[in-house]
Amino acid sequence: MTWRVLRTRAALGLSPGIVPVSAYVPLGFLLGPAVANVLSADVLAHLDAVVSIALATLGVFVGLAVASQSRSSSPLFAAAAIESGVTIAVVAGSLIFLADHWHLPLSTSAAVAALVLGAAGAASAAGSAEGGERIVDPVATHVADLDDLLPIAIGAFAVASAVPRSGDVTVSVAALWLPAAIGLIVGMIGWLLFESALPVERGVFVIGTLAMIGGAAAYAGVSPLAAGVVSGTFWRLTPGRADDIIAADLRKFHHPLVLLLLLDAGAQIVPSALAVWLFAPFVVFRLTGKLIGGWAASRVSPALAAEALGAYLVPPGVVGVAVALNYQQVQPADGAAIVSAVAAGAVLFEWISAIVTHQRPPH
Amino acid sequence: MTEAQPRAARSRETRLLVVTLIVSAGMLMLLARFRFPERPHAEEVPAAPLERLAARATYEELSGILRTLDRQIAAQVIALPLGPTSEAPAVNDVEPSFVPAIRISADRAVALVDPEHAHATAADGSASAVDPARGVTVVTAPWSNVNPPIVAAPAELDAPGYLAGVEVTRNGPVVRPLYVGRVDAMPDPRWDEPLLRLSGLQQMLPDGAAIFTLDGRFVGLARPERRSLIVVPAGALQRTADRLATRGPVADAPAVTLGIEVQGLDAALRAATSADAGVIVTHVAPDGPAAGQLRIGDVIRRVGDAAAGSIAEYRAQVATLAIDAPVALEVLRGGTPASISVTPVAMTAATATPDLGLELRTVRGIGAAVVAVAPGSAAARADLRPGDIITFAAGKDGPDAAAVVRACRELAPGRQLLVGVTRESRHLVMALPAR
Repeated sequence: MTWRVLRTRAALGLSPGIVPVSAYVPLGFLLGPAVANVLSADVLAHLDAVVSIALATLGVFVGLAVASQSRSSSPLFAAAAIESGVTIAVVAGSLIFLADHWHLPLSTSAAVAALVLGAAGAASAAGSAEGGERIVDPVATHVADLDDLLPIAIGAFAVASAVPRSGDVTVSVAALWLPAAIGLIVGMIGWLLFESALPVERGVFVIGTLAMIGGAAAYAGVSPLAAGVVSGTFWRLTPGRADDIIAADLRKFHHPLVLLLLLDAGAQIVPSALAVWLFAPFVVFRLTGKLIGGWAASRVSPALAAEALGAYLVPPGVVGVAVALNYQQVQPADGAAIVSAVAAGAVLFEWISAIVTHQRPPH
Repeated sequence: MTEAQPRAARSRETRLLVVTLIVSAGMLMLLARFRFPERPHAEEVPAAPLERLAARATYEELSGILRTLDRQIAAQVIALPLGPTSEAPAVNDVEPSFVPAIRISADRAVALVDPEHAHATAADGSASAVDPARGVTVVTAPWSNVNPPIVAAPAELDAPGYLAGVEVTRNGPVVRPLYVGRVDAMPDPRWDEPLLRLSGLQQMLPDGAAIFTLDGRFVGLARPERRSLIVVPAGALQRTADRLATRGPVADAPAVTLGIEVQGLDAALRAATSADAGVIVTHVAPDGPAAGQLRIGDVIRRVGDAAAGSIAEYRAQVATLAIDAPVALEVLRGGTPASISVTPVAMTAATATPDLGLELRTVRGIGAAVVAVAPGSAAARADLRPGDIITFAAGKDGPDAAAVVRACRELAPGRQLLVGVTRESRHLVMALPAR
């Protein structure tokens, strides 16, 4: 069971062992407008559409993983929700407090920016497998899989809040539910198409479905990540082989998409005073949040060791970066500083994690 | 021993947690003592999702949209030639000799033409029905299976934004981008739905121009007023045209005149006359119905019960008057309001020669001034122009308007009438054909 979980996670590319954030984010920064300008601002603007599809794809991965584990691991699911909830509360709460004292020049509400940082910080990518051979901590891997859900939901709320809409309250309320609606509708379309399609045309349907999730969500100004989660969960929970089909097909190109997200995040890093001022509390209070969250989660599930869990959940992985990137798409002014803080923090946390987990024996 | 180990571990975790909390709180207090060094910048409006990729508005894109629109509406717009008017030109600089008539069915089109032009277009057979009070002219269009344009609901208009203005030249329709800063509803008792005031415009359109949305829906027909455009919505035009169709042509009723010429008020005239709206009298025909009643410089603010805030409103109201029925004009004379009664007369009585397409007024002691020349008429072919003064006709120096008209009518068929004309600083002799 443990091996199956770890293989799934490694195959989905959510493990830092498979996708080293610390390699690709700095590479993106070096190629980006701040340094070499190979990935110029114009190129990044044109990549926006692909990034939306990549976010949707990542959401589908998360949805598939969460749905498959939540049914069999209810206590772990509760523990993961508590751990991520505590981290979000600690990071967002401290940033709201500091933003008020610092008079940060944010374009939108400080609360929304703080929620995005909290959500990006709450996502985890526990050390899992290196080359699929060595188990690091299966419990932490479970929790890391499950604790992506709340950050994605909070990130979706922040994205929907950040996009200016008409003064009608119903439009704003509808925007909160739009990712779920898009995910369900497109998920249903995919479900109807995948199994009946011939093998040669199935790939086209899969890519088209993902493009539809990402495109529709981005056009409506809501989170493609959340829409993808809903679709992935739908495919996993509905009868049939839709989940297996899409997992098999996506396995062929998920690495390039995740790589694209990390390179894009690196290229989006803008060395600014605001980014530095967000980076410092993000690092400090994310660490605090993970430790407190790990302790709180261990109260729910006795199988968890608080200290170990907190340590293993330190690296934010791709999902945290994706949440920040998603916000940056709809709110470029603040988003650039947030992506910079989160991407740089992800690199730092991965180094911290490598040191901590190297000294700790498998659980 | 085995139970003591987890308990000890939990105790250590709890101590670690407490330390973490204390350190974090201390860090928070420490960080809160700092201030961000930069001043807050102005709030930026965030770009819409994918906007950076998809919505880069350029002039080329706008041009492309207008080219598509031009092709789309080409078959829906008909050039309607204008007849002459007896009164002064409107304040707008460009008064076209054509106005666009927009198809409302397979064989009918509707145009907005000021009342006197409307009578002229009706008289020369261009119009099938005229509503002079509203300035609506319905023309019979060559039969076509092209669908009439879809009507845009006024509520759908977004401002600020771009619409398309359509005017016509001799060579066909011309489409222009029209930036609109604001759209306001403006109730008008003559119409069954509010008119639209388009303001904050970058440029004006000529009288009668058609307004379309950029995706080709018909908004209405426009009249310039000061720095705004007053648009009669497409729906109101359609209903008026339908009423005219069931009632039949009304152009056989003669046009009426008060025997005066007017012009709109600009800022300088408003300041000089202390009038905020109205039309100012520029000429009073000595033998007309207003002679001795109105003076040059009077500002007419109301005709009967209706406001005459602009040339268009004044003309529309005059067109509704009945011949020989006195009407009260609310006038501002030297800053003092006054009510003056004038009895309208038929326009063709003594000053117009419909056969020649010529309209005149007397310039006492000098001759007869040409007020208007109908396009394509005998007078136009003889090269008479508005502003010319006929100083000699039928062997008589300094003939008044009535004398010239009489001489034209008495001319035998096939003969020509020699007239002496002063045009600016030149003196000419012309031959006017009999009919």
